[in-house]
Order: sequence, then structure tokens, then C-alpha cells
Amino acid sequence: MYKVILLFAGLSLALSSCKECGPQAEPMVSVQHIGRRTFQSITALGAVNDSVFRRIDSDHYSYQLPLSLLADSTTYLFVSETRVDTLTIRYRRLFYDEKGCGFVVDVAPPEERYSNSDFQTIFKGKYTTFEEVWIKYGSYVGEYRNYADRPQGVVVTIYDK
Amino acid sequence: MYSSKRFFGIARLLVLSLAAHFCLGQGTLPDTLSAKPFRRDASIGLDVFKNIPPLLLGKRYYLQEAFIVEAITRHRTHRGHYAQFLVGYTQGAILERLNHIARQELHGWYLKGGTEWDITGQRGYGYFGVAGVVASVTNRGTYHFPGRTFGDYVADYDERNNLGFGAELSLTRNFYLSDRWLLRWVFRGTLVFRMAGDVQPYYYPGVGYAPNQYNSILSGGSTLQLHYRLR
Repeated sequence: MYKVILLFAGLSLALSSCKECGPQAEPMVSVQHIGRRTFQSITALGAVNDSVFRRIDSDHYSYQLPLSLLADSTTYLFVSETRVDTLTIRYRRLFYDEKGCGFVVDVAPPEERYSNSDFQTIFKGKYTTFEEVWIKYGSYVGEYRNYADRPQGVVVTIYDK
Repeated sequence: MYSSKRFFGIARLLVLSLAAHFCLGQGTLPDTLSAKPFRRDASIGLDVFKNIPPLLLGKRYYLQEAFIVEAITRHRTHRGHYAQFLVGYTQGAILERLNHIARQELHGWYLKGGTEWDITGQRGYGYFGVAGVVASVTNRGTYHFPGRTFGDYVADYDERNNLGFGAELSLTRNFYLSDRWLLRWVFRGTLVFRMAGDVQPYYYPGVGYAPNQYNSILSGGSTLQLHYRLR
């Protein structure tokens, strides 16, 4: 009898999934910078409070940057010793009531023809002054079984000379 | 089907009164207790409690700016069995901040119809009831996401006429205030399935407070109804 109960309990645990309700404020973009330069500062156009940017350690090559909830694009300024680079991330904002979460905010690719798992590549001159930028529009909301499958949100990789 | 003339007829009331007097009045119970439940066949009532907690508790109560009207008719179908119908209207606002909803205003109506059985040996003091429920709600509200870097996002939502169907179980205690006036203390549990609507309603008219529930909404409650008994 105990074995049957244990079996059911084990199966229930194995088949159960967790739900990620997404950010409760501005969604954060994970930015990976691949290049030799480091930035003196990073900021964004339209920012009314730069405290999140002041906490960024410019010696590192990965950052968490906020997306604006008030617009469908956010432009970041990457200030280095010799120049200022820009990167504009375009997206669609989604606000809806998710079962078990209440109202959530999520982000989708700017064009509906792209899915959340597609990488989009943008090159110098269009939305950025970096050589090449890869953007993956992962969802912030959803169910997952393993921690590795957890919704990642938007992930950006900057390739810089 | 009974005609109203037959149902509410004076002759029937006379017979019932005499029967109650001769049959029940001769028992071991006091005459006042045994005769009163069978003296009247029908009553009309109003809910006299649901507006009091919002008035007394103010912002400490989950439903504010509340206005609730419930009218009830009840009539006897068999000895110890009653049919009852309830029509209600609720409006109010929920100001409690829940899952980014800063304010939710609601209004809606509901109908309940069913039957109840005397569970106190036909003495007319305790009833178990079953009823069907049809309800509709319109929710309007504001949701808010804080944006520390670029500014907050605030937007409105509006969901109209979410229709729901369900059932209700109830236990009721009768208090006979006089020959004419009857106070009923009702405990109920209600389950309604919503046919439409994406936003969780928090309060569903006819069901009650139901946070974090979506398509199936379950809640319970207790209230007082004041009935005027008809001849």
C-alpha cells in the first residue's frame, strides 16, 4: 500500500510543472558583449531614473538592462573611451491576464512572423552601431518542468570589434 | 401546475390551519412552535445583511462602494418543501491591489431558483436547499506595472456581461419574529462556471469573493433575509 502511495506521489512530482509569471516590473534584457572594449557607462534614451545603469559593472561583459513598458522600442547608449555606440531593441509589449498569475507583462518579436525561439540578427547601420547583434525574443511567462527550460526573456549578444 | 387561486386560496389556508392545529398542535411541542410554520404558504423577502459589512468596515472590507439588492419569493409546494426564487443586483469596487490590478469596478445581476426541504422533522426551523444559479458580471478596472527606469505603465480593461451558470447548496435557520415576519439565516456554498472572460473577477455577483479563480468560481457565505409572510 505504501509503495502505491509513494509511486503516485513520485509520479505526481515528476509530471508536475512550475509556472513563471514573468517580471512584476520592467522586463530585463540579458546582454552579452563579445569584444575587446569595455564601456565606461551604459544608459538609455528616455530613462527617468538611471539607478539600474549605475549598478552595472562595466568591467564585465554581461549586463541586465531594462526594457521600457511605455514604448515598443528601447535605445541604449554604450559609452566607451573613444565613442558612443547605440542599440535599439524593438519588441511588442503584451499585457494580459494569465491563469494563476493575474496580469502579466511579456515581450514578443516586433514582427508577428517571427516566433519567440527565432534569433534575429541586426547589422551595423540598422538599429545599432555595433558590427552585429543577435536578439532572441524568449518569453518571460510560461510553464516549465526543469530549471533549464525556465522562460529566459529577451537575450541579446553583441559582437564588437 | 397549481393555479395561484388554488394555491393561495383561503379554503386551503383554513384547512391547513385547522390541520396544523388539530394534528401538530396536539403534540408534545408547544402550540406556538408547531403551528407557525404551516400557517402561511408563501413569503416575500429582502436581504437585510449584505450591505452592512461594507458600510461598517469601509476600506477594511474587500468590497467597497457596495450596493446589493436581493429579493426573494418563497412558497410551499408540499408539506415541508418550499420553492424559492431570488433575483439580485450587485455593484461595488475592489480597491485591494491584487496581481497588478489597482482597481476593479463591477456590477452584475443574478437569478437563483430551487427548492428546499425541512430538515427539522417538519417543524419549520431548518432547511436544506438546492438551487440553480445564472449570473452575469461586468468588470472594469485599471492595472498597473511599476517602471522604475522609464516610468509606470497604467491601462484600463473592460469585460462586459460575463455569463455564468452554476448551482448552490444552502442551510437555513428560520426565526419566526411574529405571525407575519420571518427572519432567515442562510449559509450557502455556490459554484458558477463562467462562459467567457479572461480577467479574474475577484467578486462574482451571486457567488461572492473569489480571488485567483477564473472559469469555475466557488465561494460561500452567510446572510440574513427578512420575509413577510403572505396569506
